[in-house]
Amino acid sequence: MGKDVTNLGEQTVDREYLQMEHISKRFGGIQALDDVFFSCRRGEAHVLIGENGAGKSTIIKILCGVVARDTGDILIDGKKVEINSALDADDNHIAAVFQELSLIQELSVAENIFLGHEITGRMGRINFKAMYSEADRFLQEIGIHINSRELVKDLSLCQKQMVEIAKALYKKPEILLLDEATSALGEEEVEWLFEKIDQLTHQENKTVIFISHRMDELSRVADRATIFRDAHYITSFTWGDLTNEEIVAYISGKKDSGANVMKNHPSSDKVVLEIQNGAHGDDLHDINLKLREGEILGVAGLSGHGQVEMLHALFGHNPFDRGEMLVDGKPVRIRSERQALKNGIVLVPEDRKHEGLLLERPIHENITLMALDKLQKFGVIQGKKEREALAHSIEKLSIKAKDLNLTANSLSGGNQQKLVIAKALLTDVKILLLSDPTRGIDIGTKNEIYRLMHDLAQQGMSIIFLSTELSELILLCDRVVVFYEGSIVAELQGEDISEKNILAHAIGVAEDLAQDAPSDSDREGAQSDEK
Amino acid sequence: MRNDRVRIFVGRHRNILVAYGVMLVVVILFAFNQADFFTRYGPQSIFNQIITLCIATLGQTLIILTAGIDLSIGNQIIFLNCVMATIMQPIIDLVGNDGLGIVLTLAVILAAGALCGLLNGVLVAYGRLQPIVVTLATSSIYIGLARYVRPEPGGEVKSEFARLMTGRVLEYIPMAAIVLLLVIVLVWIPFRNSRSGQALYAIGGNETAAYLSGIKINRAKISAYLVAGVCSALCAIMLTAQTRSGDPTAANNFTNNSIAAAALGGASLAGGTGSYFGSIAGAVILSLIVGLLVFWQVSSYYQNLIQGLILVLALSVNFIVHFVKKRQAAARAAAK
Repeated sequence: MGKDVTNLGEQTVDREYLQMEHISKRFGGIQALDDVFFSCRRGEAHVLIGENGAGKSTIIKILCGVVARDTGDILIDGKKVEINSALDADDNHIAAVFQELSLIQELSVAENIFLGHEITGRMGRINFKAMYSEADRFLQEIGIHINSRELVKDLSLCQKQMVEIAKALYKKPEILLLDEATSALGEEEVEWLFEKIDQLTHQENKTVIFISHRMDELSRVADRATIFRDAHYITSFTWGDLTNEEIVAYISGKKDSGANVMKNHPSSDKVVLEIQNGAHGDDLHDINLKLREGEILGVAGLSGHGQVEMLHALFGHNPFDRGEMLVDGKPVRIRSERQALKNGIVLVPEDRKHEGLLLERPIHENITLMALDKLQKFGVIQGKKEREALAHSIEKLSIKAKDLNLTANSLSGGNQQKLVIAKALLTDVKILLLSDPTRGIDIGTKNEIYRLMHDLAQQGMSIIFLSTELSELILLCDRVVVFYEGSIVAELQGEDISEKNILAHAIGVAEDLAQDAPSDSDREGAQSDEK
Repeated sequence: MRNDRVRIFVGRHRNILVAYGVMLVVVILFAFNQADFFTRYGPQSIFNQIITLCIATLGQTLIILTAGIDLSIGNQIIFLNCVMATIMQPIIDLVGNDGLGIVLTLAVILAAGALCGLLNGVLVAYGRLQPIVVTLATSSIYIGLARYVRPEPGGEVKSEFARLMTGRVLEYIPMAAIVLLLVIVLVWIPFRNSRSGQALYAIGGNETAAYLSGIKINRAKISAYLVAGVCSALCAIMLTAQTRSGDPTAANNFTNNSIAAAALGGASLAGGTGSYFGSIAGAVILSLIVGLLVFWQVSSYYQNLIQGLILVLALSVNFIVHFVKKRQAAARAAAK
């Protein structure tokens, strides 16, 4: 950074590198951006903050050419540039990592990294050999351990996200855009990404603009931040100048006390679900679990240690191939989703866009999809019943939609998630499985979902809550089970549910920590101390 | 690392391996039934049976890769066949030289095929219409044009040309085999290994993602239809050499069979997967089955039925493999 300062006169650190002025954008009836300003400097990690629908994603999409702005100018290094397509963004050395993965599932990692920029030899012939070795070299260089010949569809969600990031990094962009890039990553990978961001900005003097909803993350990497609210620019500030409370106030536009602790549900001793020695292939083994009525049971662990697989097994998606499963004390065999539903078990899947919603269908159809059996008579859906059910759902979850005939696609991420939950609640659900329900949604909606879960538990519903955010597990759960390498290694209760405890079990060092308890010197210990 | 590569390779090409397994069975059955299989006439007869469907399937595969489908391939081929049988003699008369006349005719047919493909491609890419609708419409146009050019079957095809294309070179090598090799080496491989070819896989896999990666979608799509049009022309040329006439009323199964063959060869109709390697296996299976049915004196009334059943069977192999693998994995885990 010092380089710029010594460069005399007009080239100071403070010079704005990227400027966006008077940017407006409408999507149909919705104003996504209204006369917005945004600017950032070279060598800066700049974070965009705001609730979903505040306009952050639209800013990013305009910058990378996915969405065309209605009005306004974009200036890079003081010069006006036109960005109207993904190709234009390339030409201006802007690369983006998308929240919805932009990878081609059927192609290999290397083919994806080089997509549109393949290494070609004579007569435009693609040199696949060179591509694979170059991709392997590059992945190695940036510290990703994935074989570049692997097909993307065979990778885990987390690995896909890593490839997505590698793809953007390979373009050696001057400006790197990250839209919720960490939501699919495990703790370790997030660490890796932050190191990369640090290196890009502070050593290579590049610009990184990113969106994240995880406050604890932000404080680690952000140099400056800009807050948006309801399609308007609110303020920009150097990170650290505002307290968390002030930031939340700016985001929500009102003083909000945030969430209180919501545990200790009046759970009876009645066990509604029990798993004995459950196992599935190589993914899960020795799963023993009891779920009580009116309890929120947290499921924690680093990504890819079997948590998602267990939820899928409970829901009959990839059923347990060994072990016993008891619902209300009676043994049941759940081999399919329908059988799970019959037993009152419903899953809210983690990938709402692909597994949860019919994006191109109207909101009302999405909500009633799983409950059609209840709403029909002689095979015909009863209009009155449907309307009642819908009104009930909308109110209960305060889904913000102008018209129920709009497609699910038209809603913001947070409201889409509410739709998926509403859909699940319309069934005769007794045991609700939530797979990372707050992934990539804004703080306001998150709090609403927490409140809803709390209320449901109070009314006697049993909830299994998988989350990648430790803070929400601590906030809500009566008990937390921690996964490590496909089995449950710890069950934490009451005071024991802490970030440090969960992490220690999740990375398999709990015994080590217990032995030399006083020395909190290792990384995980230091992290939880920050709080 | 090595093991990794083998595992990835097998995972990627499992469908194709299945297709080749089925193809092997069909070829062996064929060998038992055809008396002169192990003479120089054997390969000649086999390649003449498979060549037209192979080429048509290669074209179809390119379009299927983009998650499209070409319902006009059959009628394109008939149209080009009629044109070829009609113009060959007049052109020879015009230039006064057999060889030159034939070469000119071939050039015209190839250009016409490219134009047919281009029309499909432009409508799909710039008209933003669904391929199935576009090619359904153009299919009618092509058969209409065929009937305009040749109201009745007939035309004149030089017998030297016909013999050359269906015969053997250097005593042993079937001309059809050479044509197939040339199509693969000069058309498919260069196209597959170009950026446009790579783009087809990306578009079929996820069009939005392809766009976000800066791929020129329209250009890639149009090039796929155009190359498929050239394939139709090549197929028409071989067909004309075989039948020595142009026939607008000929029953033609090229459209259905090329789609079925591509699917047999591991191409997904959802786009993004498929290869010439697999598609050729698919085309060989479907073509030779017809030959087998003739050997076994199955009435032609039942040919479609049996072809269809075999197709269903072959396609379910993947499902069965998947099922068996799942059972094995469960058994392995239980044994632990």
